[in-house]
Amino acid sequence: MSLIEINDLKVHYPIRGGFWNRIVDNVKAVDGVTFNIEAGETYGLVGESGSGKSTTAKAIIGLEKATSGTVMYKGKDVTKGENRRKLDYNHDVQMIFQDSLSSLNPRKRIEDVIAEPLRNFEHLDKEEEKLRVLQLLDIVGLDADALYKYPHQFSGGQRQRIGVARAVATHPKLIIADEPVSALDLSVQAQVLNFMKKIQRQFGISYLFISHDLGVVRHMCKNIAIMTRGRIVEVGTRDDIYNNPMHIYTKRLLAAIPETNVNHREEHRKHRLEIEKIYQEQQATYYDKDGMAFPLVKVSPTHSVALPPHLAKEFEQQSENEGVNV
Amino acid sequence: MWKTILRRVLIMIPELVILSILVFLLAKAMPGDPFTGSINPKADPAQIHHLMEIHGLYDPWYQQYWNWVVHLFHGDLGMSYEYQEPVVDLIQQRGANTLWLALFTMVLTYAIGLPLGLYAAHHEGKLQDTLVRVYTYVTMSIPFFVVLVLGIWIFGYALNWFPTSGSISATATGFGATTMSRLGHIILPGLLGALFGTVNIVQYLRSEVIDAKHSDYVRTARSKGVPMKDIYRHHIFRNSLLPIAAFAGYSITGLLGGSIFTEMVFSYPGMGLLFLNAINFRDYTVITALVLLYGFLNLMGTLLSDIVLSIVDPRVRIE
Amino acid sequence: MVETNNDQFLSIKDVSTAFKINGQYYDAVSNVNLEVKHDEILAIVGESGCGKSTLATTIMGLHDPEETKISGEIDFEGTDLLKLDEKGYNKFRGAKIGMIFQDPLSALNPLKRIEDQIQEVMIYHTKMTEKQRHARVIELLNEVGIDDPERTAHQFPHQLSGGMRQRIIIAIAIACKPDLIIADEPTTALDVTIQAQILDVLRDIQKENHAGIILITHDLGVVAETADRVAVMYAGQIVEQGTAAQIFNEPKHPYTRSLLRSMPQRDNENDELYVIQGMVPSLQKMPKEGDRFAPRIPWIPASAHEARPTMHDIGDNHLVRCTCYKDFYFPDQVKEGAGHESN
Repeated sequence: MSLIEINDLKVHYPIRGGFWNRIVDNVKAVDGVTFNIEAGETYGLVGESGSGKSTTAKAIIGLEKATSGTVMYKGKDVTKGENRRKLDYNHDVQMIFQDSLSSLNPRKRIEDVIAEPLRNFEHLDKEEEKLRVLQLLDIVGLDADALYKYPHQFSGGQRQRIGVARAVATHPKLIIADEPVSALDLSVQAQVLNFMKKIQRQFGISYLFISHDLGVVRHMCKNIAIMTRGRIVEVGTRDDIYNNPMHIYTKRLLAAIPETNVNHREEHRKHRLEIEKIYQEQQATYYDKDGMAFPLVKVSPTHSVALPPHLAKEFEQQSENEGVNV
Repeated sequence: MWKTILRRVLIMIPELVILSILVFLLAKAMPGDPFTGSINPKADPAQIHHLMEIHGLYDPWYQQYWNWVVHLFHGDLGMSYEYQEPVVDLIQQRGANTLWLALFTMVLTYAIGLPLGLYAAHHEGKLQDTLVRVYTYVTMSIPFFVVLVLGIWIFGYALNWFPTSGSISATATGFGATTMSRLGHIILPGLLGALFGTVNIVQYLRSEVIDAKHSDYVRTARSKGVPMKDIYRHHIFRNSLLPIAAFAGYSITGLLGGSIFTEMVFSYPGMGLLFLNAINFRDYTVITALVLLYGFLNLMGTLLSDIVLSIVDPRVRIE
Repeated sequence: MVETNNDQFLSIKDVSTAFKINGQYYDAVSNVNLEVKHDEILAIVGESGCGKSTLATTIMGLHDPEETKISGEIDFEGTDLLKLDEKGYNKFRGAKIGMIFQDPLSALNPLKRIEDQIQEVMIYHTKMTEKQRHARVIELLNEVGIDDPERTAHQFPHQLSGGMRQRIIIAIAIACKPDLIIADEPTTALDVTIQAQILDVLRDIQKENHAGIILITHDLGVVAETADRVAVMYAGQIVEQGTAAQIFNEPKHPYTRSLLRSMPQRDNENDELYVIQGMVPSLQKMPKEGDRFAPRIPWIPASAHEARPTMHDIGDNHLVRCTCYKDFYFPDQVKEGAGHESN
């Protein structure tokens, strides 16, 4: 069984308009997102700005109210507040944010920042609490004198590690990391990514890793979902996505990542422009009349793509035949 | 945009209705009755009872409220018990006095505050800036009534430059003389009020200009080769005056409410003093009318601010 | 190492920029030497705080003279920019040097129409009439790939997407056909697909105008895709300089090599990423002498470093600071001899 199952999750925001400010339409920030996260894995959720990836994350952790759909955790739907409380959900699921400076309270010392989730969920005495905080600092590679400093006294990478320390304080099962390294320099990013992998091995934590950086996602995630306009357009293993992208959007996204290989610069550019041309031509067929992606179709046991109906048919038949053969 | 404004105006109607009900009920809830004090103290309670009856004071509150509203629309807010004058006339006289003082104060406030704020920001961190900031800190740390009392003592009594009470000299006749007399009476309170009011504007404008000065769009303008003085004119001033312009709508209606301190110290017969006296003498009709008026002015102020803002700021105007 | 080249129109000679902090000056940029030619993109790459943006604003003359001390010489087509007064500088800004900024939203005045913001630069540098200026605005908007120029010209910044705004910034920068375009992290705030488009626009514009572009970025991928030549900066100094092929195929300086290894790539997806030890020193704590990168590679003996590191030409104008590159090896890899490592 999966650690957490997100099923047909929707988050719609009303648009008000007209003279009486009535609800005239909905912004479908998230519109029918389904995926599972297994225990101990890193699941990548990739999308450009406005794709709905962060809203999905917030709805999963309960910071944003789901319009419909379920998030099943230990057999209960945690989009409902009472289930979250019953299951101690907010103890088991923690979040790491992109901007470590604004997500840490500037008036609190690091000791209090890291101890906060402990105080909320575990009732430790002063000695025990301090011991735990020191352990956590040690895990993230910071000295004990960090305890009495304030967030602004640290560098971006150190602050991000403090954010991680706070997130792992309660030994969570799942950490939702929303663009955890986007604001960091390359050398610091490497440090934080290595460290996230290390504590995953140590504590068996699952990550929902949200990013627009396909290089980082490839490095971190075994399973990846590509999201645009509130829906997942392609989901598969790292290999499926990077070596056999099938949705036009994924192809374009991958082609746009700059390559560090200077020798193939021109080929890469040509390839990108070709894809861009195809994208401009075929884009319309890949979305329905409301501009939304089509339902996902299984093209292999691990790989699903939101193919347009005429392409989807082929695979549906295929899978039916396979079903007969087996 | 006009749609938004119209909608705002329409929303004001229920707001005013609720406000008026609250005001009316609060006035009703006050202890005592309007007659016990106004007629012969030895009067028979039965007679008061009779008076209450014919004035409809035993009717259910919604009926009384309705009558009050109907009168309100006919421009009748009742009689002031203290002044024995219709409340409407009273507010008109006092309102005019306050209006002159308010306008004068406001013009002075902006005339002093804007250049001072710009000047300080322009010389950020230098001596000129420090001097302006010292002025704002000093003014801020002295209570307003102390400033008023000191002002009246120095310029009114010691130097005898300005009259120290009233709104017009009793001996003034003819248009020229009365206007001069009115002006004479508002210069000192207006100036003192302005000196005090500028502090907010100076500080606000200073920080707005400094923010704008270090903003990215000013850097862009500089990299276009625009001379700094033109950048000030075309980019910095306009952008930093915007929030102040929007606030002006709010502050003018605030000033119309009358400054209780100023009017009290100067015995200036404006709205503030009227309100203070009405409370002292339990002049309920006046209190009700004034509270309603203040509420209305407040709503108008926010509306005016929003309108100004939506005219000057395209981000609000075009969604 | 300065070669005489007719195309070379900008040469930065021994430029240092120091900021005043608590009454004392500290170098944010130290003794930088660079040349830019027509028709080339020179990328300056480095992490935050390495001085790359300070160098850009130094060339533009945007620093407050009371808070900064700038020395050296910036020779722009025969004029030393650093000797100019504000009035003289304004003849270059916008006209001969255009600048593109990182955050396209804050770089535009929110209260002015796009048209006015583009026209502004022409008002100060050309004698065009209002009508000519309008025609040029439309032409520019077309050039940077905006579909409906008339409509966009009339709009305000908040009505446009991030990618569109960055196109506007580019239109402003190229309005007067400058010889030099300085682009400071022009795509950092944008999505990758938009980034690719903006970089295409920059390249096309350069071809058209024969401009030289200084592209400032932290993104090695962007550099590898666009730059002709690359200068790598660390702690205010250039540590390595060469063609894109030299830098990416044969990186020599320990910092360049470390940076490339710390980047998640196809071939290291399951490995640990390489982490550079320690931290970039703050301006106040910058060592006055010796190799500034030495504290971050402590396993390399002090004798491998120069006492006063200088740039060494190791062939074909590939420049490397300090001699330590010869002895450098990664701690987790066996030393292979004189600085050779297959990447």
